[in-house]
Amino acid sequence: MDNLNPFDELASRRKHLSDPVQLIKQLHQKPELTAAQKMQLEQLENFEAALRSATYIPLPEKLDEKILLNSRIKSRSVFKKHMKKFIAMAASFALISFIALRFLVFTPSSALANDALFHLYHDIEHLNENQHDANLRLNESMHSLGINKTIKIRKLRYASNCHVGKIPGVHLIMEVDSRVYTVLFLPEVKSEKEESFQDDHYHGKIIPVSQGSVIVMGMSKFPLGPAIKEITHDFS
Amino acid sequence: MINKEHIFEGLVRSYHGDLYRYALFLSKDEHIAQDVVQEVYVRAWKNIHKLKQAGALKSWLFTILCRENARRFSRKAVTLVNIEDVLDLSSSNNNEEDLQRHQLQNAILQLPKDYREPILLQVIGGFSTHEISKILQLNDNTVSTRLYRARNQLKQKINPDCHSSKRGREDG
Repeated sequence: MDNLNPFDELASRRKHLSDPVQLIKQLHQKPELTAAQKMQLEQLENFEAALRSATYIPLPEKLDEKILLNSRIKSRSVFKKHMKKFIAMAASFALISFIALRFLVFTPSSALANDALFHLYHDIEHLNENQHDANLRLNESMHSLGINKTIKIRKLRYASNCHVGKIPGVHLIMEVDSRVYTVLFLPEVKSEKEESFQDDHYHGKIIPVSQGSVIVMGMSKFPLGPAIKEITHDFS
Repeated sequence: MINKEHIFEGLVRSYHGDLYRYALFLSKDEHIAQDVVQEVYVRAWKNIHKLKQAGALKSWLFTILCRENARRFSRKAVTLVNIEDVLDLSSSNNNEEDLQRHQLQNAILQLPKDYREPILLQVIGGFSTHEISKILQLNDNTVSTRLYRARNQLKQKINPDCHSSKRGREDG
């Protein structure tokens, strides 16, 4: 039944009706239509419109962003898998260097920026968090790090203790002008000046504050200025 | 690398909607549909260097989706779901246009898979019979027949009176 004879009239009619878009085009190209053809055209167009409307289902919110984010995470993990051997060799050297640096005054460097970006990607699922008691958690985390200061950030969506590399700190997700930013507060990092960094998707800034340093990161297309203004006001 | 990323982002932004809708009508489950589309893009990312014809990007993605969906069916038993849950039919207005739309959505979901796949590729993807035959790895005549039958069944379901008299003749 599936192998139709092209010369068969029924088969040819079926072929036409199986692809009405072509049939509609052909009917539109005719200089004049009979009443029957006009009715056929109207029915075909109505049915096509009904089909398009029925299949036009609303998409889940930010589906494209989720796909891009997950694909980036997966592509990074593939990269990490291939780099496993190299990393294992480099790790021993890095560990010794890190331990030595850990007991010195910490100077912000591209290593810290890399650690911050790595931390962001590693905990990227927190970007979708929305804790109702985030400010309470922030202040508890601050107290646990020996900072006795009460902070209230306007649209704080997530707060938790964390380690950036091995440096203890507080991981925050905040919203400014409907854009989501990641903020890392590191009381042990004494930076002397501001330092900017970026990768393919995110950019950030290390900013010295009165009791350590703050790292503000957001997607490359988001300006950091508004988030920095808000966060440095709270941490200064 | 930048070029690859740009192409990939373009693929996601341009086609994720059509792919999701197609996957939803095939799987009848929004979570599975999202997973399948995500998997399609993971595979696309891995194989993007193999793609030579820029014009074939869309059909390439749909081909991956069909294979991914077939793979999923071979791994997992199909569960029956409430059609109203799949498309959230209960939440919309009850005007005549909406009712007809829902009736048609139901009818599409109830089509046998062999008929549902080509008609969705035609309506959602906008593919020609020949392109559908390549995506589904069938010959043109088979696709043509399945499309014809799918359309007939849909018309019959949404307007049984109009088509019942013709049915015997048209189905041969």
